[in-house]
Amino acid sequence: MTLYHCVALSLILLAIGVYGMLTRPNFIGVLLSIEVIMNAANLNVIGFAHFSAQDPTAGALFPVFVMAVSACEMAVALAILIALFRGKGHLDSRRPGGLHG
Amino acid sequence: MVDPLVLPTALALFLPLTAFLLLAFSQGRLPRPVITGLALAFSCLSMVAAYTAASRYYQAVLLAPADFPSRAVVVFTGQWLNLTPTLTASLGLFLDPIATMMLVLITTIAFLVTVYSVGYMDHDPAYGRFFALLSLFAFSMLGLVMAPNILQTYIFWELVGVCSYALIGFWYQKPAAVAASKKAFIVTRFADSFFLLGIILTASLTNTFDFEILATTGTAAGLDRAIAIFGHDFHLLTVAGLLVFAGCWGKSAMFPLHIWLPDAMEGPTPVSSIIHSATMVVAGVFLTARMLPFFAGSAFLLTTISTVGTFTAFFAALVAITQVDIKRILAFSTLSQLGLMMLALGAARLVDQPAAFAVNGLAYSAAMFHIFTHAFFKCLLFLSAGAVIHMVHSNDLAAMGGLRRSMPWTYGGVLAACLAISGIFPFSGFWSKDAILLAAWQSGQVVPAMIGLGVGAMTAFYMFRFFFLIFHGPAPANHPVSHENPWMSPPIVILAVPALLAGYLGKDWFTSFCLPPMPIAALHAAHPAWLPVASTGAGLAGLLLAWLLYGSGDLARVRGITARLAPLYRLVYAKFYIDEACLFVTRTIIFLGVAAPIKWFDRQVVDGTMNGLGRLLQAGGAMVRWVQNGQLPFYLGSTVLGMILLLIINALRQ
Amino acid sequence: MSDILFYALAGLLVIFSLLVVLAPNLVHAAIALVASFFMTAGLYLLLRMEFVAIAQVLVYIGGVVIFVVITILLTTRLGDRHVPPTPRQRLWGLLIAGALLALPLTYLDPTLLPNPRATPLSAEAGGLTAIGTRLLQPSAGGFLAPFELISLLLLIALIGAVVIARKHPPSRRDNP
Repeated sequence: MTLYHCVALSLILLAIGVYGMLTRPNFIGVLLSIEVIMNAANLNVIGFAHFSAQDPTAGALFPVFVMAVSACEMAVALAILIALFRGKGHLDSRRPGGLHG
Repeated sequence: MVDPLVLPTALALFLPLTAFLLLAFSQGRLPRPVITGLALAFSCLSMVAAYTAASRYYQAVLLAPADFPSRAVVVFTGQWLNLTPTLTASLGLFLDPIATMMLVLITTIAFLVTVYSVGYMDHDPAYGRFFALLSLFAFSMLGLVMAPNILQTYIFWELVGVCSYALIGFWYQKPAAVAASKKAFIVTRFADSFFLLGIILTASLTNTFDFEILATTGTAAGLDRAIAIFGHDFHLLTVAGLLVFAGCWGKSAMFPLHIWLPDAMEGPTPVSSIIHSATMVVAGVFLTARMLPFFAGSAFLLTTISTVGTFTAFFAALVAITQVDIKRILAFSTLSQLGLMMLALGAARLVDQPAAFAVNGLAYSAAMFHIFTHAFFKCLLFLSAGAVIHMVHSNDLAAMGGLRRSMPWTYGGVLAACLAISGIFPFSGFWSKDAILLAAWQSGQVVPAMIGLGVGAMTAFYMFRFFFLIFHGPAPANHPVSHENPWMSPPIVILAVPALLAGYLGKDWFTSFCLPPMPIAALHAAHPAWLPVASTGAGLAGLLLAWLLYGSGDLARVRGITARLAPLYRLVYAKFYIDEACLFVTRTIIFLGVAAPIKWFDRQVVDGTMNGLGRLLQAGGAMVRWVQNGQLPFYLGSTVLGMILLLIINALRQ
Repeated sequence: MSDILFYALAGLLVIFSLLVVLAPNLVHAAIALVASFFMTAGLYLLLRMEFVAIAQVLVYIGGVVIFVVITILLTTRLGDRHVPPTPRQRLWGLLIAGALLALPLTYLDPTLLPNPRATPLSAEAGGLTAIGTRLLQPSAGGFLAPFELISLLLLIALIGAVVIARKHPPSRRDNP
């Protein structure tokens, strides 16, 4: 278990999350994939904090803040999705709902 | 000395303008009596102011002739444009003998025509618009004659043209009227383009617009040199003078720019009487007289003026003999008389005394005198023609006859005018025509004088043809019986007085007071006694011939002559096909040959390029638009792809 | 020992993440997310970051995913058709994700990574005391200001979410 493993792991998770973000037909599925990406980012920071950071405490606190902000973001995003569902009746990301030019 | 002149002159000029503004901005929605009252009041006040100004001018100039060497008074002038450090244009009021005469003439005729129009235009729905335009015309014409410089003359020249356009096309629902107004405006504008060139050329060379400096022999002498144009030498003064004279050529309807005047008869008869007989068309003669000291330096120019005038006089008289529309007869008569006036001005050139810049003073006076007398009898004739048309509801001679019983006042007026225009002693036309012929004879211009005599005979002939066919003889079948309009008869009667007497009473004033501000050559030829006899005799001969042929009041006796001379008759009746020639040039050559290719170029090439650019942009937009497809995964994917590309580029750069 | 644990946890993490992105049923995906978060918490514990692990469980699993599950239940209907992604979408997804994976790995030079510390990390460094002190430290290097701001942000997000998602009164909506 070296830093290289952690970074590789987070990259794999990032790729998985991106794939899901681009592929998922449902908006909530996209949000779940975004959560996976954030998880990967947190893992990356924690890995660096553990293995070679000068200031590991700050390295530990950073993901905490990321988690808090992520929670806020998910709250607002899900609220938007609820309102969107009320208006459109579906949450299919592939059906154009008026965003096209 | 000039202060007492300012108020009456300004009132005479601006009262008609005030009337125009009031009538125009109320959009003719005032009640009829109010419009009538406004129009009559303002034109009457303007006339009174004009008479006041004239009398004060006369007193001022007579009392102190040394102060006014050329009898010219600058009443008012104000700086307007500083074109260059040395050249300034100003606006103002200027009086000299001819301006004062025109002031009195224009305001009097305008007032009488206004009175007449109250009766003539009574049934017309656009009553207010008519009087508004008439007042505007009066203002413009007064501004023209009282202009102290040639630029102001040009401004009012164009304004008068606009009024003429608006009034000829007054009944704009008639296509013929619209076409006639366009023709008038375009032909005079064509001539005025050369006029403007002349003004610019003259002003740039002499550094002034003012008549007091420009229209002098000294200034003309400064331009008495050669100028090279496209490699050929021309006399500069002749070129400048010809360009300026071009405006007079068009406005006074000299051949071949006469084509607009007969068509201008489509307008209401009061318009024809004031604009196209008495005042506007003589503006060309007036300006030529004003610029005579300038023009006199070029013998070629004076010869041109004389030739053009003589030819127009003869040509128009010839055509007038055959016309059957009474207003057309009068229109050609006006053309002929204008030709005589130009002949008179051209007679300023002394054939055997080519001393530079000295002219026959009688030529100037004779032309102005003829303007004066002609205004009265021609206006009278037109007003009477309008009364006849009002009665018979037709312009055609065939619908008329035997009207002397139903229109006694008009009968008397027309008789007076016909006697005057025929130049029969002792009526007004005799004195002015005699002066013209005498001037031509004295200057040694024999041919114009002889032709003028012949024109006098022809004038008498066609005028009395007009007279007999309308008022004598049997009445046509469907003859309406009605009475003369109480508004229309008084001006006719009033105008008969100067038509009869103005010549006899005014001849001395014109020959002694109305002289050009330049050296007058002393003439040795005395007044030949046979000349007035010959001119009266010519008039009487024409009258007699007309009585012989038309005295019965119908065309029975001339039918045989007309049949035998049929081709010639058709040629003359069709006004020598000049209108058709002009239409041919316009339609075939200019429209098809010049305008159509330009139109093609504009539509296909210029517009095509712009449309092509638009289509190009649209195509470009269509190519890019597919990116905005509303698909969220697509947007997200492009974001990530962009980020990857940035990473690659960054990595490659290291 | 720790290596085996690491590989086990990492492997499970990857499997569960794959389940998140591939499961057609959203509730299955949400449960898989929960499981992946647990694995991540385990990895944090392995990396001697206890506080972060606990925060991960509490915040993510206990807050976010619950919210997601509730939303899923609110916005799906029984009998919804699961439309799988088209092959073209899958291809693009794979390409981009693969690029994201391959390119850093290609250019990632292990020697460029910073040197590991000489002594392994002590437990106190990621422990509660150190984090707590640091979190409330007002001077430079302290996270007091972000801590206060985060609370404000949470409040705003809470209110915003409520405002966006509330049912608008029918009277206002029906007015033309």
